Amino acid sequence: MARKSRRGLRKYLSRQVLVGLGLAAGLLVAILVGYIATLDRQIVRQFEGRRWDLPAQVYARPLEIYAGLRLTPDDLQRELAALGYGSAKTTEGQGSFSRSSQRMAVHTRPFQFWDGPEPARRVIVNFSAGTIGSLSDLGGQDVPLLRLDPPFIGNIFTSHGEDRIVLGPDAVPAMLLAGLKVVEDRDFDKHRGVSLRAIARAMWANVRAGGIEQGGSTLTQQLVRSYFLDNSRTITRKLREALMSVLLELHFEKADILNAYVNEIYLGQAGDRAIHGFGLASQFYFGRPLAELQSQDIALLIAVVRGPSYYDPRRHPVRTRARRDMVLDLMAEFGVIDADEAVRAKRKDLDVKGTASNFASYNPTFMDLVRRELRADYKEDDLQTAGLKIMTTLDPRLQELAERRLAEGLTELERNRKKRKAGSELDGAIIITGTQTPDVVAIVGGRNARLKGFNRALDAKRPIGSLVKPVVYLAGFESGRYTAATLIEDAPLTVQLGGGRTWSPQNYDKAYRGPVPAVRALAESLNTPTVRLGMDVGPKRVAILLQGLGLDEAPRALPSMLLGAVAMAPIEVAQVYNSLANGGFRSPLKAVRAVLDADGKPLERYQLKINRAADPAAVQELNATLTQVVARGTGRVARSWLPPGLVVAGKTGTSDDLRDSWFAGFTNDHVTVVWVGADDNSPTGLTGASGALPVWARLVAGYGDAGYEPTPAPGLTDVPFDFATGMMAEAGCGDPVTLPLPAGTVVPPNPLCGSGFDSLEGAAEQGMQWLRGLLN
Amino acid sequence: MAVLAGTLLLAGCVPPDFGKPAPTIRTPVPAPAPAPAPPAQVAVIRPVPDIAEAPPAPAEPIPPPRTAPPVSSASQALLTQSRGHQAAGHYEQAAASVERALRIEPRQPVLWLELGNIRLLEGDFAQAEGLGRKALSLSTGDAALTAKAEQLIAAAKKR
Repeated sequence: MARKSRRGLRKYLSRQVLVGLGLAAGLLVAILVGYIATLDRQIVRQFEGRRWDLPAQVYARPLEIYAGLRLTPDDLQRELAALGYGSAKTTEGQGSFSRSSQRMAVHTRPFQFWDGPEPARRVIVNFSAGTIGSLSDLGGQDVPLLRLDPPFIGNIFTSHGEDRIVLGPDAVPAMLLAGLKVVEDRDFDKHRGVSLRAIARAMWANVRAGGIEQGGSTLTQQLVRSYFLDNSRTITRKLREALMSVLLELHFEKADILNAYVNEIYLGQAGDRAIHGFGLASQFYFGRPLAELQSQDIALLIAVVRGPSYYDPRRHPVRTRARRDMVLDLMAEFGVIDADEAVRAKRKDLDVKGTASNFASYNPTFMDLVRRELRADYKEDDLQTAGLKIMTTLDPRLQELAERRLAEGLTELERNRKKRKAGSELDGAIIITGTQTPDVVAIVGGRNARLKGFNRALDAKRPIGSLVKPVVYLAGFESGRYTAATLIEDAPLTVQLGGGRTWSPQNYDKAYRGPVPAVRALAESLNTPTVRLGMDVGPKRVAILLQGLGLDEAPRALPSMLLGAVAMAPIEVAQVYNSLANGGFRSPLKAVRAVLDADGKPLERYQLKINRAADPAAVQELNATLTQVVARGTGRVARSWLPPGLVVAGKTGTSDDLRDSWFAGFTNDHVTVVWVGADDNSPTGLTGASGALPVWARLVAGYGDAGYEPTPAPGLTDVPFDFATGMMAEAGCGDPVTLPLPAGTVVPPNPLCGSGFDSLEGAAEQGMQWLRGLLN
Repeated sequence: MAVLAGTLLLAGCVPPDFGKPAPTIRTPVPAPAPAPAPPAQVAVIRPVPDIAEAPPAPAEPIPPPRTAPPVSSASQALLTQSRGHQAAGHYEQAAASVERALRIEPRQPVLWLELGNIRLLEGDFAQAEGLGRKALSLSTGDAALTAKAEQLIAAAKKR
């Protein structure tokens, strides 16, 4: 009974097991189907999404070449090398040049600009004495103007630090595609995502040591792996990858998959920036577009595919070259190139340009500015996906120079600072613009210019100290009551603030000089004459003028504002000084000139806008006065770094307790603002003259600019007078400075200088005139 | 400094061009493209040739008399390009060409004047005035250019 019942139980159980097994199998199939459907959705979404992801491409300013331009053969060669032009004995196609000492032949690339296409051209450039003497075509005809293609400076991208230049199928050389198939996946055109033959061949090759290493993965599998950034070697991962590859091949054409591969595959690393796709890799390794690469270069890129860190041509040139040569042999064996070409290409060096870290002058600070300007017109998503081409104002030479000078300058300042307090590392910012144009040509947001993060040039709002003083004096000149020669009392004063409170500003050196001419008060950055003048014309008037020159809204018109108790970002200071250099005209600073769509069709153009912000004659008088800051005032020390005879106009600025060190000024061609300080806002022990000025002067010395030159203005005449006393002066008596002053300005006679008057009566008459001038 | 500047100015002048400060401004603007422009619009864009060809106003004597340097051949090429765009009614392209020239010769009043006239044609009177004032500030001593700049400012302010 028990036995029978046990048998019955067993029978019952086995039936149960069968049913269970059946159920389990069904469930398993269901799960598998569900899993495959999930994978299918995943891979299709990924593929479709990526296919249309075209980050905006950002370009620096194109170099315009014309007779008379200050440009040396070395300058031009540097520009062309940065554009990836090849140098040869004779030009060999677009993007090449040849040079003899004072003569260059250039074959340019075509480029679609906002205002029309610039065709490829062949020109001869003759140099003489540091400028371009003539520019002609091969027939000897003068070429008035030549515009090079603009240097590519980067993409607007975000997704996990990946960067790429997406290439359409037409932009990919056939040799690359054929080479990739030969080396990575010979059955690509036939298989359905996975290739058993490839796996078998890979196993055989791995057994037989010494053969070219083979991976069993098809190009499709490599693409799938790259999508999901997973390199673990588990069997489930392999299976999932194989399944997805089959699914991908079911949905899409071979050509689409291959094109996605070319744009997706990982090919190198530049800091935290992953280099994806052959378009960007070509720029990364050779500094030139993929279409211009020769067979040895294409073979090198194919060699790198297998392992971008193992086959890094910069760090492991020997093994990488060996693999490149094997790739070339394979390409010859399978008829991608002919045997002679392989032999020729194998003789060539790797020819990899630059270093991974300075790749493509990648500049997050400038990109940040570009992005902010575009935000008004474009959605962030469009910038990352719509393939826009952004034409900007960046001058790569000055950008590179500014980055270097800031880093060197800060290091030196730290070395020299005796009372170096721990924990407050110096940092800084630089902005360079044109003088008559609003173009931002360079911007540095910190001592490590390649580091993303806090953008000091745009976001660090700091008290500007004496940088405000030129605006105070400009208000005085505009009022008609002051000139650069007007004597102002330098002596302690107390300002009533209302509510019974008072303010007693002092000079930085606590010394007082009695009556000084305005030019000396400004050049030596004396506080009490400035406050006297400012209180006379009124802080309100100064605040409104400051706003007109460069701020969105007027600062509060407090007396303390007259000495710079107003916080501004370096870019705002640059706007104010750009308006001064621009002769009193405000032209909103900009980094973006134009935007084109992916096909080169013109979209937005950002116009040059200008409006009068101050009286041009008063500004000319002020700018001439500002030349005395470096000639005779607080900026004297800059003379030792600036080229002899280079006239610059500018002003030092220092905030309370030496927290911020500023210098802002201009030559004929560029406005430059330098800020030095600490991120934690702690005292730096530096004045504007000891911190920012050395950086400024050494930077400006490298521009090759023409010195500041006054623009004649109606109603101004050059008048010589003594810098220290404001009295009449001439050579041999006093320290004569000649400035453009409003016509009719009379300076007091100097009793110590005898000459200049025919008689004592003449002197007396001059004195009376001066007194009347004072009283009027 | 002044002597040096004077020498440079002289050296930069090709003799036959000297005394013709603004040859470009006298080049007649080509007639507007006939097809698309309705007569009313033609009338609106008249002011510019008038300004360009008007005799200099009898200005008060401004010492010292001075002639703005001639336009360089690079800028001249861009001005010619700009005139083509203007004739076709493509004002933004025309402006882009002049802005290119301004980056080459930012102190050339003729170029600022040209850009101001383009804005006037377009009906952007605020910019026309601003550009006219900039041109004026660079024309001190040059009676002909000063007059042209003042006329541009006046035309812009009338609107």
